[in-house]
Amino acid sequence: MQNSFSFSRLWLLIKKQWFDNARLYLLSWLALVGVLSLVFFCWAFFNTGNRYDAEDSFVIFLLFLFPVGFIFANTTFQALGNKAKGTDWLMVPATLSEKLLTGIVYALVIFPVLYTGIFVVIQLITFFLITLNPHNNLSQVRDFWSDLKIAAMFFIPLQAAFLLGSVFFQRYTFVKTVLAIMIIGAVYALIIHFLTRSLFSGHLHFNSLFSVRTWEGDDSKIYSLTKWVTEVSEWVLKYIWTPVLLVATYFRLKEKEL
Amino acid sequence: MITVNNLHFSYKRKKVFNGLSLTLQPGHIYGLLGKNGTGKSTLLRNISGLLFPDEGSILVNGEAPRLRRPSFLQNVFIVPEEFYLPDITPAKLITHHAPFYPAFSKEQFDHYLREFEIPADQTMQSMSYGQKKKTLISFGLACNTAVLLMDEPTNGLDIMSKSQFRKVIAGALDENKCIVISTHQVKDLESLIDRITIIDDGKILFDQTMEEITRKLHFKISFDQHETAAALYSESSLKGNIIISRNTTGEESRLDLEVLYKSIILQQSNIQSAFQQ
Repeated sequence: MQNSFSFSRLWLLIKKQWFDNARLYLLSWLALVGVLSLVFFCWAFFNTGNRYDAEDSFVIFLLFLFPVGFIFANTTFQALGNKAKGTDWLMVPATLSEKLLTGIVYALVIFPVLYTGIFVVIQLITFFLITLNPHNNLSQVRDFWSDLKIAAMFFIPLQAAFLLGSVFFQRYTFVKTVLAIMIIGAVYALIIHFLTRSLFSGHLHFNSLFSVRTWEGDDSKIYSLTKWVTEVSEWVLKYIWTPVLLVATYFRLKEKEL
Repeated sequence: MITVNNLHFSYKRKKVFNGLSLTLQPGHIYGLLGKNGTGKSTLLRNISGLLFPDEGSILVNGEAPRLRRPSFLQNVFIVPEEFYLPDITPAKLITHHAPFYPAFSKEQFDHYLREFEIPADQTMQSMSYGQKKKTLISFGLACNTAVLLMDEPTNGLDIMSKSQFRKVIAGALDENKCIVISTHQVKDLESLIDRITIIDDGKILFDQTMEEITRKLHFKISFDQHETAAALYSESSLKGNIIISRNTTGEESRLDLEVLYKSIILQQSNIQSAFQQ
């Protein structure tokens, strides 16, 4: 009996999820291809003049990546909100870590990779069609792939939050997760606000998350955390959310009863 | 095989079990009977690890269900009352679901599908509720798990399917398998189960083998007023008075599960007295 992690079982779970939902996935991806194509067509067609700014397309990328990704992540463990589907999911002979990892693979790997792939292909076709007209001028200053890395830093922890939301809440998981993120964000902002107000007097301005400028009349001061504290804090803020949220999802799944 | 010891379970404020203990052995088909809301499904869900006991312990083949280890899940299959099957064909079920069960037999699955007259190339969406249920029962049996739990398996099955169900289940039992069938449709289990456990109000009201029941009790239709009055339980019917009396002659009678069930619910002490001697 194999009760420890098994890659062959993980592969079986990934395949099972794909084939159990093949029709839904296929239709959803086709719909996304249609919508993205339509948006690119509108962007190219309704552009006034012959100047095209390729960076605009990154806005389109983010505009769909975040909401569609969150909806997708939120459906990952939504089966647990339904007694029949949840029973089927919990009774599959696999470890909890294999089941969680299957969800992670779909929400954090397959979705972003497929979405980016589809987007890049549609983008390339659109750019190619634009450049067919010699009078058109397509400018591209910033690098799409470096912008993508910054987007991923926000996207991945938020996806993990929506994964947790799909396990944590029984019903209306998407709306409740959005509300929970907004409430946690607001509480965090209020704590920072009252903390800085109690520490500093006069007018305040945040130069960054770790540096504050205060001034009273002509007297202005800048307060910053030391370099190493700033670096450690930045690292923690960037990378700690995803593992923390995924560990919370694991324990929530472990205690799930239906 | 299954040991339930001092089980306490409640849904928020509603207490379901208050110290229930039970032992189920392989090689038997257990009938778990009881009124609606007495905890039959809850007990099956506790045994399968879908619900966790508040107190007490459950062991299935020496494993705690709440841990939901693969070695446990490979040996327990539940056919729940509310079930889900993905919209794929039974053939795809073999490809994508069966590999999780090491003892799964494709031959058996095909055989059960034939018995139930289920087309193997039809997707679940195009099947009726009864056909889907029979597919799930076939799959559960073909997984060859040591424990097979079925919650109201005959609900939604037509008369022919119910008789197919009895035939299939009777043929599937072996000395290593423990089948537990929870139902309130007692007639459906007649001639199938070999031990009957009646739950009421979170307690075990009655727990006897069919052999012991027919050895101790005698079921008959009587027109004799004195015999009816002396019976442990009686009820009138169009055919006469159906009575349960002590089996003093050792002669075996045809057990009427529905009448037995009613007698235990309505006159438990009378029936129990026959087993206390």
